[in-house]
Amino acid sequence: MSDVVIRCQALTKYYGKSRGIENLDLEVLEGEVFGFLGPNGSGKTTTIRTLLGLIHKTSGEASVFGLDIAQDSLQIRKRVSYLPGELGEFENKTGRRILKFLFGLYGVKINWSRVEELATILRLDIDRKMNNLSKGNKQKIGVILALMPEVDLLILDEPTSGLDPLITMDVYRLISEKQTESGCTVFLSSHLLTEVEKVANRVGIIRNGSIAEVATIQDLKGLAMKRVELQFNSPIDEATLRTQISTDIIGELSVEESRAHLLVSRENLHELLISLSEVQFTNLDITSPDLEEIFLKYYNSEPDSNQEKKSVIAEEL
Amino acid sequence: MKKVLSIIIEHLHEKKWLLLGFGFLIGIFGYGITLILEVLDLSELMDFFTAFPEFEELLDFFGDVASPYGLLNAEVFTFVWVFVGFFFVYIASSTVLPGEVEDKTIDLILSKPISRSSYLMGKITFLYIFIIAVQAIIFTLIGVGMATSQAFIDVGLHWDRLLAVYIINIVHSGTLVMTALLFATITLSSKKTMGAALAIMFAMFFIGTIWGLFPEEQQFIKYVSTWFYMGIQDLFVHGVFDNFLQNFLVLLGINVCLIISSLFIFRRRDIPV
Repeated sequence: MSDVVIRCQALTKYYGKSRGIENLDLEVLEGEVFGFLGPNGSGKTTTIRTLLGLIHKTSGEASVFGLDIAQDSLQIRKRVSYLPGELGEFENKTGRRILKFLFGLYGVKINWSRVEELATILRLDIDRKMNNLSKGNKQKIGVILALMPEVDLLILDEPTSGLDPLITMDVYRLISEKQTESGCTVFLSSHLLTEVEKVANRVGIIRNGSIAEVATIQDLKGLAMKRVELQFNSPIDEATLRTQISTDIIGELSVEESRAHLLVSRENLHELLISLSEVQFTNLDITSPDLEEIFLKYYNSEPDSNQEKKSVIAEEL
Repeated sequence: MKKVLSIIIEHLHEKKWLLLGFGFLIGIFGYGITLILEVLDLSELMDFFTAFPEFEELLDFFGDVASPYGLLNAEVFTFVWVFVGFFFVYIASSTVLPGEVEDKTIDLILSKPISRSSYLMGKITFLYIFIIAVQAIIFTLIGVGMATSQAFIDVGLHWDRLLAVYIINIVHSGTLVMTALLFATITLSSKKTMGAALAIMFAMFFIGTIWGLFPEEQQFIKYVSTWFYMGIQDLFVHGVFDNFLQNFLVLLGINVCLIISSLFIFRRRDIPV
């Protein structure tokens, strides 16, 4: 797990004057499951489509398997399987027909008994016409399309979009099995951390077209701030509380009648408890925010420039 | 090659009923015209035109409608052929790229290991197969009609004329669909592609048909129309093949230029979401 499979350096894509991605730096290592997280419009799909040669970069460099995305797109795509967020409307065709056509574009023989097996696991009738399939069932066709070819890199853009929780579990299990069996690299884009954290080794968080953070799930949890909740007998004045607690050590303070909420880093927790000895509260709870909350913090802050953005994130963590 | 073949097979599978249906519809119409000729007294028609010299220009325009070849040319290869062209433009506009962009299936297709050139060549080959097959059905039925029509047997069955018209029509239809292809790569929208390709087709048809009515110093405009290079009246009605090869090469050249331009544009295009 050392070779870099995907490398982006200052990769930028503009659609006219609108920003798609800007100075995106990213490295995905061989054999890992990399979660690519970001809200809608953050640039996830633009990154993927640029890597696959569907759109042309404006500037910067990017390579997949060490091959340049602009010069060697065909060579790259021979080793990549892609599942887009939306499969599209394949007119009045059956799932089998679509699979046959798209597998035909790989120019290799496909093991149809394995296709049937996957369809059974996903509870999908591949002989039904696409018009008669629900969004979830259409997406299952895409999952089969992505998992069947023998490739070195799986690029999955919101693979469980529209699927029910049971099928979502099956899909992630199949992705994990595929990755374990073949050792392929998985680049998994999503806006749902709860899904990605189940399978990913590392996650990259993209916001406003640039990478805000790349970390392991454990690192993210470890870097998390502590949530401190204070309960008082009567409504408390925020200004008074601020005079009692050293505001330098807290990340956030809000008051709702007789409750106060504070965010504090692990390093400052001890100091906070000392300063709270002077405060007359009736109850105190210290909890760790779940990963989703940490993740949402990246989404919610909107700094102007990348540099400013990264420094804010560093401060938050 | 296997991948290109995969695209061709897929499109043929999709459009097979349209191909057969339209081919037989126009073919049966052509066959019907040959049947009408059986009951039509063409000498009476000629007498009518002789009695009214003011129609002489019209006679020149359609090319001797009082002969079986002339009447078939006027009815099928002049009037109906505009609809055939319309149909081919429609097929090209809906089959080539815009359909897949609008259905959002293009990402999945182009993410597979197929170059854009091969992908487009698959589409181009399909379109040529389509126009060759549709016209093969039409011309076969017309041929059957001619072979069984006493009116044609009396004036002689000139299969070389029918074959020449078939060949020139294929390259001409090729210019129509390749024009649609070029606009498809530029606009990636079915409606815009069809609008632009049809506007050009009707402009070409108009110029190529009535250029003779223009003042002499403006008649050079005929050279910009692809319909001018069909020369079906010469080929089918008069059996004059003098310009056949030249016209064929001009139309073939236009096809090649349109294909190269389309490939050039498509390779550089961003595929929209």
